[in-house]
Amino acid sequence: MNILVVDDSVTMRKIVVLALGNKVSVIEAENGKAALEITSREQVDLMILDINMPELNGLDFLKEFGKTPKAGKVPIIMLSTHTEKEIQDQAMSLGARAFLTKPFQKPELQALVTGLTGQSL
Amino acid sequence: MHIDDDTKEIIVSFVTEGFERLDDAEARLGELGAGDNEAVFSSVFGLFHSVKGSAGFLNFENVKSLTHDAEALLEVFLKEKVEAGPESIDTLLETVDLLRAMIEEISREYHDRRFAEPVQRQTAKIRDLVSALRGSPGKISKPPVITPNEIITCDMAERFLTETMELLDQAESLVLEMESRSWNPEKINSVFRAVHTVKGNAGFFGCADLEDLCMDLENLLHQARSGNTPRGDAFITQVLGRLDGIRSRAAETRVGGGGGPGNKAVPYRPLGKILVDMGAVDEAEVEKALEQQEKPLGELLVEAGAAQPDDVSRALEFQKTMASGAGADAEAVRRKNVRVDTAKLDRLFDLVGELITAEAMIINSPDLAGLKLDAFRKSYAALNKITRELQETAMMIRMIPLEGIFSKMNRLVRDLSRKSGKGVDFLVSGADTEMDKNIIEQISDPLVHIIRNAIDHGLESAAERTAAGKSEKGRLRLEARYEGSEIWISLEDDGRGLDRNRILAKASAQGLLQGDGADLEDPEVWRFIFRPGFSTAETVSDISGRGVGMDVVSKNLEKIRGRVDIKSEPGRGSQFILKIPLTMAIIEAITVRVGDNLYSIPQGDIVEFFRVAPDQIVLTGKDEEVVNLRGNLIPLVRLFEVFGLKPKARNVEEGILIVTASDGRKACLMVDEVVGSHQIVIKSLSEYLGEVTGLSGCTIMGDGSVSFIIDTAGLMSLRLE
Amino acid sequence: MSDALIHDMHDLIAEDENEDTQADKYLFFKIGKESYGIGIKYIIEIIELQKIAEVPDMPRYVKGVINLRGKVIPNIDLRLRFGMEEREYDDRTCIVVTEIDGVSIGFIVDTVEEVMEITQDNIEEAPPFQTRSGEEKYISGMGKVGEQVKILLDVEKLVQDERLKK
Repeated sequence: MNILVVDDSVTMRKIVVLALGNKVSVIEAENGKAALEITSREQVDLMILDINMPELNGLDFLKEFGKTPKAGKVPIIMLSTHTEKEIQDQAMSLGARAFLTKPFQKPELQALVTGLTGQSL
Repeated sequence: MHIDDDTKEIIVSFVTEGFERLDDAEARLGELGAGDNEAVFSSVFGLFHSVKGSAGFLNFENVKSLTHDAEALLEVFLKEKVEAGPESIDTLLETVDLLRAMIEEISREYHDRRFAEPVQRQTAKIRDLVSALRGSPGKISKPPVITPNEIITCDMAERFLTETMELLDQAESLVLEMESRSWNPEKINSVFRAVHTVKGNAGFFGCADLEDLCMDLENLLHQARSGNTPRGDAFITQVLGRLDGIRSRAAETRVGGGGGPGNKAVPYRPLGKILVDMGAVDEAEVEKALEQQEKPLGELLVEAGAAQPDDVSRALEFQKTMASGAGADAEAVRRKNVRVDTAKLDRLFDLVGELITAEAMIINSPDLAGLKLDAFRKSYAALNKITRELQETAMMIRMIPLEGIFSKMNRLVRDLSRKSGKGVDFLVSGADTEMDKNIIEQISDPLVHIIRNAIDHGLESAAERTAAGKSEKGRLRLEARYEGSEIWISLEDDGRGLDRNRILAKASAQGLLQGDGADLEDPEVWRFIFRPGFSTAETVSDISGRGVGMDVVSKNLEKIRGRVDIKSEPGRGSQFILKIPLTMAIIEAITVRVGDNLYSIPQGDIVEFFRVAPDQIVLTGKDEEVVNLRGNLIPLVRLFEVFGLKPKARNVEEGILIVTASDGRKACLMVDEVVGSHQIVIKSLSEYLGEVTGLSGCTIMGDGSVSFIIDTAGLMSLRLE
Repeated sequence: MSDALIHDMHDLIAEDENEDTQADKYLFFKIGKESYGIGIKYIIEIIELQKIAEVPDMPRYVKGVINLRGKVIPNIDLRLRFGMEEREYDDRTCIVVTEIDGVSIGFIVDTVEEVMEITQDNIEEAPPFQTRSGEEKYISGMGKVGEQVKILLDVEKLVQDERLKK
């Protein structure tokens, strides 16, 4: 299973990768733009997406990704420090399937990944 | 406490990233007042936010709580449009310092527990400030919003805002040029055109207020064009002020998904679909329920036992928030820059090097010997031309002129001069000097601080100056140039000079000094001002005197292996020279051969080259050889002797003499032959070899061979002293 | 040294990237009649001899620098490092490029032989003898392979030089 982790902070990406364990293969992208490129050429089974990023932020990424043929086929988990309901709702309405706030607990992320992909970590 | 390797690795990355973000934040905070404050706050917000995110995971509670409160303070400026005063900016800078101290601790101890108390103090301070600011009747205005419609897409609106910023930047630098050089009708026309374009676009995108602001400025410019306005300093200030007004309005402008009633952007999603998506029911169940629908779908599904009541109410909630969620504040548009990972650039660099080596191997392949290869040679020449160009381009990508950072300083000087009420003549030269982009980023902060220091403390007030018999206006000269193996950026003022006694007194009071320091040389005394927390400002102004600042100068320079030299004379002024090694920089150089080795001599050090007749060589009393060149006696340095090589040319008339000059001294270097003139990328010699006297580094030539770069000044002192 | 042999060496080195299994592997090369080994984990690659640019003011065994795909790498002639007699380079002469504490350094050797595994329990401390040439300073141990005893070198000691410390 390929999981795309999109976050501009390399620390955050490392944290997520660690939480995902080694049963999955992880692709990293540092912003929405890079993520769009990757989704266009790679098989991605799940995305974990930050919101505040340079170049193309998480919400704009959702908008752009929504226009691509893969829209709706890849479950997306938002991972952000935003606790505002409006932002969470906006992300969900743009096609995200779950919203996790930072800092997250490992089991939370693992449960979501398993729940959305049907594969255990 | 045991920490596993994975966590350690993450902490290391957190520390590196944390320092970067804090440096960025500090740099951005330094820009406050010099332009778009809101953009500064929002980017600093982003930086704190990112640190907070990782800190939360790593249980750095103190970092987390401090960044959290700092964000709250920034939100007051961003969302409530309260003006940030000097106190707020100080508080933010203190917060950055405290965070930096914590991250330093984390890099050693892997925790931030010892900081509970200072963090508590700082957060209390921030909270007090926030409530004080909230209480104040700050400007509260609703930010303008561009609502996309059938004609205007989000994308177009965002492009409009980006373009607006670019046009405003353009206009501003034109105005600043007008100030420093002279009045030029063509320039004012260009400014007018830029503003006019912004106005036209603003009208199209329905930004009436932006349009009005542009119109105001157009009128002002128009009057100046027709000669009805005095075109002096006051006019320039007025134009810059208006540009700032337009800029901050444009920066506030958001692209919204609309909002309020009548918004069709979010499609209605049927409850059944949401439930299926949630995985709470399957599609067949929904269809079945829909077929016999009399009651609300949710109830039917629950009755049929196909869905849990909880799921249905959650789905209903979701359906509702989805409809309202689209009206939420959209992200403010940020300016877009192309960011390239420098690791990728380095890789590109290496690949080009490999390409050139591989190419040389092909053309020199023994398999080709003796073959008639006309067509091949022709194709090879074409290929070679491309690879050369590729190499040059790859070199250039990382190099940018200092122009950008210098023009920022222009603006800074102007603003500081207004704020301090001291007139300043600011002279800039060498803005076309090119430097590695990464290095430029590192010298921006130091320059800002040195300039602030010069204007705040170096230059005297007009009255003091007149009394001292100086011109009323202070003079500040910023200059960049290549100097041997370094780039020197110098800032010179004609102010009062550094006060040795006061610095010593302060150093002694801070416990930095044992004894009275009478035995210290001036340069050692000057170094104190770079100590953290050291500031001798008698009055605390809102621009400097915080005591944070000058230490950034030495800290940043250390990072790029540079140093700063200070010269100062009481009553005459001071000069700060940032000396930055050229590593990674590109210079023009003449490459020569001595024996089997290649050497490159920086073009700037070379005066001329010539062949010499034996009778031009004169022996001095100490048996040293000098060359008589048109009546000037210049010491002769045979490079093969210095470098211990077997040369082709031993006798002086067989070789070529190159006259070099550095630090006001001349020498004749004798070489076997001149290979050519090239642009070279400077690489440092291996760490293993350490510093080699007479050499400042090396470079790789087009054919893959290594050429050593001669450190002319070092070589001369080696030979001539 | 033939290209084919260099390729073989690379295959041997690349065989297993895993650090644990690399720990016991050594690359052996010859200087004069003696064969010496250094830990595979230090080795980046083995290249044929190429043009070396001489650096002034260096100990005799520092032969100068080479350009390895854009990287400037200093080279130590191990023969001279051991205080042995200088010998003309030939087509069997190789440069073993290593990385020690992040610094790349090439070692010039007479010829490269083989990669061999020697487990820790087959390594004994070097006996306190003194050779005429003085290479005993750099020996980390003696490895037993069947009946043979091989000299293992301490790479870090090889690159240490009081004169180069700044």
